[in-house]
Amino acid sequence: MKELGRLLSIMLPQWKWLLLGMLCSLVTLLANAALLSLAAWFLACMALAGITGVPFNYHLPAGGIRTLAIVRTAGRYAERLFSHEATFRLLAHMRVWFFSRLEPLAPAGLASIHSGDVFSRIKADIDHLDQFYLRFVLPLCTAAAALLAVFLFAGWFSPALALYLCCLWILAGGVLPLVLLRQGMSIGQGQVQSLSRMRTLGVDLIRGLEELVVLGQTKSILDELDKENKIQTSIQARYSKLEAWAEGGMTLFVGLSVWGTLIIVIPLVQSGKISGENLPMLAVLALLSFEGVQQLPSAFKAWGRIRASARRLFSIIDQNPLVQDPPEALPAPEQFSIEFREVSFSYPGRSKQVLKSMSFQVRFGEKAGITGPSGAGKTSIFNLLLRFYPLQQGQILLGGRNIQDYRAEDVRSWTGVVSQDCFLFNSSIRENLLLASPHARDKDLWQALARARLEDFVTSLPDSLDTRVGQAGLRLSGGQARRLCIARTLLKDTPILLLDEPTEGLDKDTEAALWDTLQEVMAQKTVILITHRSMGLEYMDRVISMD
Amino acid sequence: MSQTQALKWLNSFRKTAGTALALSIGLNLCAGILLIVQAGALAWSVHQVVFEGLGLGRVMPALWLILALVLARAMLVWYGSSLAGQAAARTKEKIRRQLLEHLSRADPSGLTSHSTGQLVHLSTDGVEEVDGYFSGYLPQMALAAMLPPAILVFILPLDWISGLILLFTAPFIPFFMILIGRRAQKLNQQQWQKITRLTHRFLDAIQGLTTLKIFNAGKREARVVDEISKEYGKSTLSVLRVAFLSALILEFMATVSIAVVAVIIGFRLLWGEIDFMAGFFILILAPEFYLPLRNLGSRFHSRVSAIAAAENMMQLMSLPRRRDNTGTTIPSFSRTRIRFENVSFGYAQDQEAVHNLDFITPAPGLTCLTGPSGSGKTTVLRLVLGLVTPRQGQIYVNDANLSHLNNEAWLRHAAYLPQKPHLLGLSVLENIRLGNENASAQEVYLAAQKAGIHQEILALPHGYATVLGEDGQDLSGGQRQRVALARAFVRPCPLVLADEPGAGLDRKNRNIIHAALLEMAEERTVIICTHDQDVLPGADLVVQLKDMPPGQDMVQRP
Repeated sequence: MKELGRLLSIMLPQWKWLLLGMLCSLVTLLANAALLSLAAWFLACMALAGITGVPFNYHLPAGGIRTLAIVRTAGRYAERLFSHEATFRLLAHMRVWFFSRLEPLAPAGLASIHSGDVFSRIKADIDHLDQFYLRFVLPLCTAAAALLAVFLFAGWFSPALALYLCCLWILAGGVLPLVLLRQGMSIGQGQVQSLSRMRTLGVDLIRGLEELVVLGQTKSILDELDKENKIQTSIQARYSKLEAWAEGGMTLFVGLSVWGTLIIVIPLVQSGKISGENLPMLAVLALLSFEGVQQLPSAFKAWGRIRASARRLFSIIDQNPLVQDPPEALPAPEQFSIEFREVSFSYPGRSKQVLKSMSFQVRFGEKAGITGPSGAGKTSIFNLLLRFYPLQQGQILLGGRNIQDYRAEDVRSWTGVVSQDCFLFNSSIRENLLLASPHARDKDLWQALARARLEDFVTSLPDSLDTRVGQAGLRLSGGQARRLCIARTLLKDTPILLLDEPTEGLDKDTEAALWDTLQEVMAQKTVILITHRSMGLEYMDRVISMD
Repeated sequence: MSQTQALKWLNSFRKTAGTALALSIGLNLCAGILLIVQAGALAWSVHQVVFEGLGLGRVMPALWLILALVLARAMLVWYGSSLAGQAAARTKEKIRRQLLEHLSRADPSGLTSHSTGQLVHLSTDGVEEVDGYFSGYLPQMALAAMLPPAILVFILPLDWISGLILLFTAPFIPFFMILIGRRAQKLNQQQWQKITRLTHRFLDAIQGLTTLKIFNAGKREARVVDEISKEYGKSTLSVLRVAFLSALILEFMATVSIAVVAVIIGFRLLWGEIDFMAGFFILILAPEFYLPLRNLGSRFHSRVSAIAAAENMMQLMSLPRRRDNTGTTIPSFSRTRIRFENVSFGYAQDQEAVHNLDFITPAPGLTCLTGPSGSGKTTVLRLVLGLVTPRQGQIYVNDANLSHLNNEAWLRHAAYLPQKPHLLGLSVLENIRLGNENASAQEVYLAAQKAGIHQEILALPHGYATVLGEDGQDLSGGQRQRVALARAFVRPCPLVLADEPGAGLDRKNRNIIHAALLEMAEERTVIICTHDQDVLPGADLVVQLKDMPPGQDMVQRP
């Protein structure tokens, strides 16, 4: 139940909207029960008056019936509107809440979950959290309040009746759904596994289609998928049997409520403890009290999903950020030299040491190339310099001072990075550029594009700066994407430039052209290039080998 | 893709749901009729107690009947709902199969313009979107058509005024439902696109967190996330407001007319025109009269979202298929000399990726295709594989015209290494064995040794049995290429095609791969795309491809 408390506390700032939604929902629920119960009582009174000839003031109940009908109708609309408004406010709130807690953890805290599957899981989990109020809190609270009102009202006539109804409510709204939920849980696990296997196979089929076709293996993947498909069907058939129990059970308990009411109230009418016109009213009330109960099974079901999702999300964001800022940070250094002193490093949770007593020095404005075979830990040098990971052994000096004495954010603001897997957001060219400098004017953007030699290309696009780059930069060629990243780094204009195999995967001509550009960009900056090839080293003042 | 088409496509699966669905509807109808009887028994009992002064003992038979009816209805509902669920599950299975089958037959180059995630989602969990249509909407529609008239048959003879009120208000409900539902449907479509875009944006932000941090833009992005979520909320609410309006009118019709019926019956009771039993009976049944219609209204959204999902699925179904396997000749070559005769090809009408290409490869021997990016190197490989057919000119294998060969049989002659090989979520051994299902473990090891990856595989946590994570992420790029190379070695085929082998790798890895390909070229026809000067001297033939006009390399071809 820890998750419940935390989720509630996240919701708290939106309490006004949440409460408003609940109130409307309660009013609607009660108005309907009151409408039909009052009508039943009214009919009995009118019939009695008709038979006995005793006058009956019908104005009040008749007016009441009409009012309740309108309250019910308007209440339902208001309820939906307010509860959804509340939900969407909550949704924005939760996403920001999650994102801003995730942000300090990246990338070290996310290293273990870096795969597409996990990202789609995060998305699904957040979607589940979105339902916390509308599918769980709201129906549960309104049902509880409405049932309490019915309980008190029925108890006023007959405590036995109130207790009997209460038992049925608990059986129909609590015991039955919880038993079914427990049953469904074991089925659900199988379904999740099968679904994720299906997704993996689907990715294999789509990404590997060309190879699979050549290998003549599409059929075998399709067969595997079909197997999972059949598993899904059999699981869902089992699910629908459980669902059927819930529906059949609800029909049973609703029927029993009316039946029991008659059994309990008829003797009371006989003995004169309750007057006759109340019998039809209580029978109808018993029936309608289940409108609240009927919301409960789906609320519990939703809670199961929400809790599992909340657990996963909490477990991600509950990690402590690996890198802590010093209590008193140093201001920017006067010059940006970089020195590694006996630095050793291994990624958290891995035994392999990627840096072993690494020492080197790069003076301010000097350009140094670091070479070494792939897997020699070249990238970890940048991860340490960008303060993505904490130092384990040795010292890194920036401008002659310990790098850990600066704020991580400051260090990053002095550092530009161009890497082989530069990430472009699926938005416009403009938005991707503005990332580096949110207040830059168009003039600045064009200047950066010109220096990155992308100006002509962007001008040739029909939407110019507003052209969308497509998913993960898919619509730009490799060279163009790299140039856009360079333009972005240029906009940031930093004294330190880190180049992580910036021309990797490009053809020779593009590569040479790109280096031409980079050479200009590098002027008067402290530059470190890491590469496993010779390309680009000729532009460096010095080469440090990691072999 | 129009909605009518999507609906038609959805309904073509109705047959699968077939008997189970019909039976489920029948059972629910029976339960509905039993409910009418139950209401009668209830009204009779209450009437007898309140107006005739009968005791519990005298009405007990009616109460026993009520209990029996309750039990019977519970069972009918239970079985009916279980059947509807099963029918929906089977329908979804069939839809999924059709989608996946189509994907497996698609032209790989057509897939690159779609996001993998979206295609996977559509053909797996996305199918769940249509569940409500088959398990809820369709049966409810039948009930809404049958139950209210059945109830009316009982009410009309007892009190024609109430009957008429119900009769005249009833048609408004489906009328408004359809009227407003249509509008909601249109909005829903725009919504679907918007939601997809916003979701992508949020995921993008999470995936690009490292980049965001480099630019210290994480906090700014949090604001963007806030904005887009709010925008999402606002636009969704605008759709929902319309959907709620339909619910409002349904609610109004149902609730207000019940109130009117109750008041009218009250006065007729006062004037002694009907007896209480009839009045109470009508009052209990009035909500039941509207219930199927209201349920239908509340399930209308499942029809809307099913159609929206179906439209997306139909987009998937309209992905271009691979070229038909029309060739009838089943080839069996031990050597493959590839000859291009004046071959031209373009992906789109107005552009040409390959122009008037002529060459004859040595067999065996190494052919290098070289040229700047965008000059159609990869396309030549796809032409050789027969994945695409020339727009002009002919391709011959030895002396057989490629277009006359059965493509599946022809592909058995070839191994293909794309630029970024995709390894499946299987063990390393199984991944290599994809090249040759009959290869023994020894043959796999040998192939891995030739590809220079054997030692590294042994160093993996479970050696050859190590199951690769998504997209082979446990392996480095160089290792992945070499596993794919081992796959080519183990494949007993005379033709090996490789797209930029060694690109993006360090010298050591590249040298291993180039040496391996040179070794292969002693016995097989090896064609590689490359711009690596180191390989070219070893080539028996170098085909220089011409540059394309500038601007055309905007679209990255597979």
